[in-house]
Amino acid sequence: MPIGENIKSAFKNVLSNKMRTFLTMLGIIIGIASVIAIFSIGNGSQAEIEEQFDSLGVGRMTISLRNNSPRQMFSSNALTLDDYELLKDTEGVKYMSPTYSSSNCYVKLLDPKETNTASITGVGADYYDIMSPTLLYGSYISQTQIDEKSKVAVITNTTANKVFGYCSNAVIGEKISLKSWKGSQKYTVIGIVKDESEAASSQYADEYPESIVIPISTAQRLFNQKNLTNITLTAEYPDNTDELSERIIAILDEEHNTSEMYNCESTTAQLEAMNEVTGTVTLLISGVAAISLIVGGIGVMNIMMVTVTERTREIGIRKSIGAKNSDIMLQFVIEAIILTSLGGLLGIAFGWAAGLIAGHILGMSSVVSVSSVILAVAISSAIGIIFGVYPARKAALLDPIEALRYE
Amino acid sequence: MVALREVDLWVDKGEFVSIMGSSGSGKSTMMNILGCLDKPTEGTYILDGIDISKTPDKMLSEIRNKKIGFVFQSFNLLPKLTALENVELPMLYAGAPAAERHKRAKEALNIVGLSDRIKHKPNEMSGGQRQRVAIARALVNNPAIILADEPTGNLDSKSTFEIIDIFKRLNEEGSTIVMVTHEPDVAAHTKRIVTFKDGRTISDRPVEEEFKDVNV
Repeated sequence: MPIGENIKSAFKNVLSNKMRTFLTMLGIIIGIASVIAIFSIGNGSQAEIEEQFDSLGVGRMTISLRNNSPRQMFSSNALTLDDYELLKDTEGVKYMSPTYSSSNCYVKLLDPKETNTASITGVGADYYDIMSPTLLYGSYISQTQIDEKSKVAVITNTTANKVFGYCSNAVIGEKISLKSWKGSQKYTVIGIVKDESEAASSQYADEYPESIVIPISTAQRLFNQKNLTNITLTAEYPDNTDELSERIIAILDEEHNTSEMYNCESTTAQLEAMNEVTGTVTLLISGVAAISLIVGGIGVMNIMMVTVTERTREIGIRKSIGAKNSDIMLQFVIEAIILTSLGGLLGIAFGWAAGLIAGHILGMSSVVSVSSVILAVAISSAIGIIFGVYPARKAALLDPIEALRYE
Repeated sequence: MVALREVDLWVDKGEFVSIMGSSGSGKSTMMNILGCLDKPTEGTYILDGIDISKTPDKMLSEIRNKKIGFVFQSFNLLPKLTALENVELPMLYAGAPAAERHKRAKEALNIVGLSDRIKHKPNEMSGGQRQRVAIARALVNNPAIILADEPTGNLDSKSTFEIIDIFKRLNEEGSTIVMVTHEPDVAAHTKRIVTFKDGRTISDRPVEEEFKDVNV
């Protein structure tokens, strides 16, 4: 019997008792719907997490004191340029920069009476390669400027607009005025980078501090500090930051004669942990969905057994006019597959809707991937085959004489 | 229990034979064997030159499909299918293409006089019409033999006459027909009567002789 005719007649049979068909499919619908919903939210949050990964940079790490209290910050354990010199050639380090950050400073704005907090970061020459900002005009901090303790600054386009009223190449070479407890100092603007912080897109941009980057040596003199806030670096092998972290901590502990004093963490570590949690939750709910699918499959098998009994006479008639055992087998397996894959399709629709709604409520985006749809269809068809074969075999092996006598 | 013993029956091409006998006489078992639904434990059954008793079970379905046309007492049509679809069914299992199936099914329904009922479902037709659909289904694959098991058992006398008439016409056109019946006036329309009792054939005579005896 041609397969097309088989499918046509199977559809007819499945649709001839809609209520029973729907109830039979319910287990499959719920199972597939939960798989799709979970994966769509999982995919959505995955995409968000990956975006954050990208913005934080791959393989970027920060060395700092484990205990960042002022007492430690000013103790002999604090990180210094000596530590930086000691660490910068460690195997597995691609770029390394000492940093000193402080917000104890103000910058004069366009209106001479107005100032805004400046978030100053003193950096080394590698800082540009580590953070890879988008340089709009001019250049970044060079080693020469660090060596000469030059009073140069790299500002953002946001700051340029606030200080000069415009942002163009003409700002390069202009001076900004930084006011600290030492009094006002003029800094030459050597570069403008694109503001990629939250401030740039926030409607409260004015209230964010101006972030200004200056040479590390200049910063240490400005704030009269020998210590560093931290040391940032990029790992040569981003996939294996743990080993590098241990090595760096060991060097520092040996140098300072301490133990467990320092942290060297990948900035993406937290995200990785979060990603893992999402993965675990997805796996857990998938397990529940799998159980629902198995229960649904048993339901399908049960109803197929009933169908075979109800249609014993039909099977007898078909056999008497020349249906082979394989024809009967195929007929019932196809019916089971249609039952489960219809359930699968409905499940995809419900799951997609549930994912959208749940994503909306949880504030997460939900993405139904093609692969999860294909997977859902494949799983539901497979359930049809697995749970349809036994009843179909039972039908195929019926004795035609007995079957014809069945009332 | 032995249902049939020492049965020796030869049916020629173009014959119209009726099998008679009371219930338990073995005529149903005989029909099942003739219809390739069952195989004899001993002895041979040769249909159209094929030794059925030595044919593997797997091939019997193909033989039922191509060589045999069944007509049952209770019609045995599929209730969800239309008359046309019911008649097409044997060709479906034979793998005939759709266009050919439609054409031949319509011709078969035309032969039994149901051209105007092809879209009707069995429950929209009378008993006589249903049996005519069943006959159309039986003859659509041009079988070597048509086996009718009490084909008029569920019909009124008018429909009985119509069905017998169709069988006679098919026989005149060359079909070989074996019909089980327990009604002598139905058997009287065939050409030869074989009577079963306790699993044996007790008589096998042309219809004229048979009724000569009955009338004595």
